[in-house]
Amino acid sequence: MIPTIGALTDADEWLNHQIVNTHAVVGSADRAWTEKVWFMLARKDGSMAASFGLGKYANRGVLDGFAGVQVGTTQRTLRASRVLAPRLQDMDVGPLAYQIVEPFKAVWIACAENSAQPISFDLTFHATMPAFFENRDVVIAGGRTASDVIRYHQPGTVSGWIEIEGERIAVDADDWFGFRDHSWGVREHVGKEPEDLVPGNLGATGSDKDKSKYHFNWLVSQIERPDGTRYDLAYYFRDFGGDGPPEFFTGHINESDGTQIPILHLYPEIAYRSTDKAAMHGRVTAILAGPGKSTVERVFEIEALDPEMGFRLLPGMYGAWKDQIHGSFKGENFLDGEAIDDVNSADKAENYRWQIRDRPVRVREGENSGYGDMESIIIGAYPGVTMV
Amino acid sequence: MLTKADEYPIHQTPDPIAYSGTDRNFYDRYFFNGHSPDGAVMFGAAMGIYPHLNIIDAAFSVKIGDVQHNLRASRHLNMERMDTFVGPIRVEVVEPLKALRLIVEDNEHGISADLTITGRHFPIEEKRTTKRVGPRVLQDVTRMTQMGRWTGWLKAGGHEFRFDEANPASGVRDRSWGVRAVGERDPQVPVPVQDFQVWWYWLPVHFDDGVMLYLLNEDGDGKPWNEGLFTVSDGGDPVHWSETALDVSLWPGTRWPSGATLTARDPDGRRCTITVEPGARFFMSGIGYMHPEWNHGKNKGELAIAYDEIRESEVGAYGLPYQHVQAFADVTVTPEGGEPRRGHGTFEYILIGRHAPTGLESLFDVP
Repeated sequence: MIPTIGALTDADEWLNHQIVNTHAVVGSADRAWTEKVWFMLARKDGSMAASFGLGKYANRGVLDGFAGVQVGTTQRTLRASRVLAPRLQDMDVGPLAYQIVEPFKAVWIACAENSAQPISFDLTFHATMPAFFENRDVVIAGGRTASDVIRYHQPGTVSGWIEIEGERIAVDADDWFGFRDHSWGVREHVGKEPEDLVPGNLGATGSDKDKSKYHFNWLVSQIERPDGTRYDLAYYFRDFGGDGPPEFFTGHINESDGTQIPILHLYPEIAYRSTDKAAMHGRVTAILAGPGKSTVERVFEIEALDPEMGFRLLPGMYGAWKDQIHGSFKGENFLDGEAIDDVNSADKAENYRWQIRDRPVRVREGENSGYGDMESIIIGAYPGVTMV
Repeated sequence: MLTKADEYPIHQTPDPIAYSGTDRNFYDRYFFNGHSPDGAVMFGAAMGIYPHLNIIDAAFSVKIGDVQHNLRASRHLNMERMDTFVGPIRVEVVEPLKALRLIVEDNEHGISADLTITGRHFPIEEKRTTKRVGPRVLQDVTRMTQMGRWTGWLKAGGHEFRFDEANPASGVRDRSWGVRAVGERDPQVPVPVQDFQVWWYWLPVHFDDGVMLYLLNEDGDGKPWNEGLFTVSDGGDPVHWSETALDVSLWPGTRWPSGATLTARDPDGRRCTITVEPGARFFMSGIGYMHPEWNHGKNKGELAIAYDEIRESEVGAYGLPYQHVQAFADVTVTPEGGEPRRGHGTFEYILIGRHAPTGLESLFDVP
């Protein structure tokens, strides 16, 4: 073993190096370096949803993940964590497993029977469209690059089975839809922040949101035209209030042939439920470049599939939860979980990160119609935003 | 741009796998060699990708007696790093860090193969080597080396050789990646201008019960800047030897070694003498190394395939591109007061430029 070179891994056998070191090592020393996969899977009738994520934290030496199922307002979630070494390349932790069946075509995820929650599943994600990048998400806060991450997502469907309290439910690809993403880079909300930082060192999304304004909205979709072709309205903005465009915005209309049409400006008119800040319905106007100086407006109508559905990501460690956050060291073989009966109770929304949920939505543009997943946070008043 | 490898959790920078930083000289390569136990047939192969040149190339050469048969191929990579094939040449990972398959499909040049190398030990990580000229990175390489045994078959020049578990070919393979001079040379030489100099020996050796690997880079004053001697018993871990010193004699009129003696202290503290007797030469230009037309990374168009032969008896005067050689070698290790242990392997050398201890002053002068 050479002290300045990482351990050899199976991946070093292929020609995919990006730096002059092994795949055990990444090109950044930032402890927030993350490689992450995530899945949102839902029944088209809104009666059930499943979620899955794994994160690999090369500079923290941890692999962790979560899996969950929501039926009505009950969400069951389990979390697993292990020390990364020596199984640096294996994407499994406790009962959770992830494997590429065929790149960008099919991915297998599983949650084995476990002691944390009476849920398990064996599911294969089948892509219905290509994968699409978002714009690179860079946040510089107090001189530090607090975020430098790229992410692709992919629309699809899912097949297999889900078991809840001993009852096995078949998952038929025709009745379900889903999305998955894969991101890597330096990410916010990974590990606990140091306590000795100059104010402002944390990015705006990483700092305390008490009394500050914040509108976060991420949408991915798969919309079908009458002729059967599909496209994807995909956008993400973080708006901290004030005039002008959001601090971060990425938006595209993604076509099945791989074309990505950039959205120049987005006007979201979304009605959120006042009690739990759930996105209920709304209209999103996307402004695209037209010929010459002209622009083109495309208007999308969005509506929650079921007013109660929305898998909360905070129990998946997207933020501090039960002394866990992405990348936390929890020992060699950690597993826990819980069932939450009323995810939409108003008291829970007091923690702004509880607002983030995978909200299954119907998306329509004229005669075209499909499904989407919206994640959101709303704090304060914004033009176009209403509370209902 | 998304490519197949982006599916896997192997990223090292916040970029797609298609990009490896910004140095246009980044490369990622397989190298293989093999020889029959008596050295009567020797073969070598290389496959490299150059992500920022957007090229993948590969070569397979077989030396039988006086003749070295060389098949070379190059194509545009199109940024897809998982497609490890070029023309008829393909590399497959059978079991990572253990077994690889090298396939050369039948083609009009009568040179083909289906060979699998199985490692005798876990790969040895060599020390990362970084060389700069002023601020410019000339070389920044990480390499792993693994000795193994080949099974399968090869055909060249109307001959066919078969290797099986009872009678395998011996060989070595490496994986290296990082920055090296690849493709066309930069027309603006780095400042300060330095004379080109490489003084490199590499010696992978097979014994019945284990392997040995020696490597040495020296500068023009004969000062080593990269050196190591390892042995690995079958099923064991690499152990380092110390206090190495290499003495090489050259054939008059060439820089090809006629013999070498390496002395070193083994992990038990015994002084050992390692005698190297080089035999038949395999010319590395056959698989692209320092070849004037088929050097690694060169853009040969969308797809190019070429074949030629090197007849050693016709090489004539020592010169380009025949300096870089891997010679079959008989190797004997004799501990002080102990019994000799005999093995065979490859003695690689590139001896170009000034080397004061040998009394050589310019690029290609000879003793």
